[in-house]
Amino acid sequence: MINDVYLYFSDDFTKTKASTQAAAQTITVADGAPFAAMMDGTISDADRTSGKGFFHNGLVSLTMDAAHNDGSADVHVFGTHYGTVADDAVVQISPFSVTYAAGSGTGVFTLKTTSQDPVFGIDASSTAGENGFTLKLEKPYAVDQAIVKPASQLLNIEAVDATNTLLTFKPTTGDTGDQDKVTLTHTSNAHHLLAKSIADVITDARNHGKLIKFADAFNEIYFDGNPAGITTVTFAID
Amino acid sequence: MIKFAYFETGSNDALMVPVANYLGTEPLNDTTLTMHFDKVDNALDTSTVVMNFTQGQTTEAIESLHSALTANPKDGFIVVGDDNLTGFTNLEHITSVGAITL
Repeated sequence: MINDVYLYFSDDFTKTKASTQAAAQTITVADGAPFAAMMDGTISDADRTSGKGFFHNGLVSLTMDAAHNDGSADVHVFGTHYGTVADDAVVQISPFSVTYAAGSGTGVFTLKTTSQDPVFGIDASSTAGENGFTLKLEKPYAVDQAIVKPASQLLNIEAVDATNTLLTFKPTTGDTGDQDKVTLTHTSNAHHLLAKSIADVITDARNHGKLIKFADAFNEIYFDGNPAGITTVTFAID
Repeated sequence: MIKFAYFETGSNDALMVPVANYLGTEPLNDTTLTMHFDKVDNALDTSTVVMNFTQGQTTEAIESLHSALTANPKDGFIVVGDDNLTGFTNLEHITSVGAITL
């Protein structure tokens, strides 16, 4: 048989969420887009030091919005891993610096102190307003953030308007009368380029039996150099 | 040649479906995704297999599963996951086969 081509699509939703701010070692991020539900489970101290858990696995990254290091009494104190950190610098937090536990409608990272870990530890500021962090989702992980559809399930491609083209697939649920729909927003009047791209990706024998990232808007990776100028991907999955 | 995908859970639930009946995959959360197939009784509905993977490795797991589906074994029999078969090594990033819903 001819191998199918598996088309990967991902949404280009906002990837970041700010933490609450507290005068504590804890960094709390509430459930809410893009984290429909903050991750379950824990990253124990043993996981942290041995490179295990979703943070080490690259699902998220965590940054301190602005280091407080102006010589006052409430500065952040950083372990040696971070070197000398300038006041107001954005600091990428190492996965070796935090443990994690799911809370009630929240996820809570806990910074190790410099006493606990002189290399990766960070002492939070005693002023809550200085402890602002941003959690960034680095990979799609929830419903409607990404989908794979076999090209053989493609029913049609139609223009919605000048800048939107709708790809309709046989529904994932198999329900009659329903479809899985992927809408691609692109350069004005580029429907033919998009349709040709789809035809190219499906008919090129080199793609058979492969997973092709046709429109990975999350990572801004597009098939064939994105001739149609796709900017946005949205799903309506049955 | 017709290819078949085979799944078996640790609780001895198992499913073999033609790869041609594959409808798509979508993530559920940071440790599970769902693979959809045409309903096994040919009703207008879906049969699903939940696959569990290493936390945070969603896209890697998707790529691993589709590499398996696109394999071309001589007998057309593709073991995507088998939690009972001694000696079977899970696909990269896959930890186990979850619920099979027919």
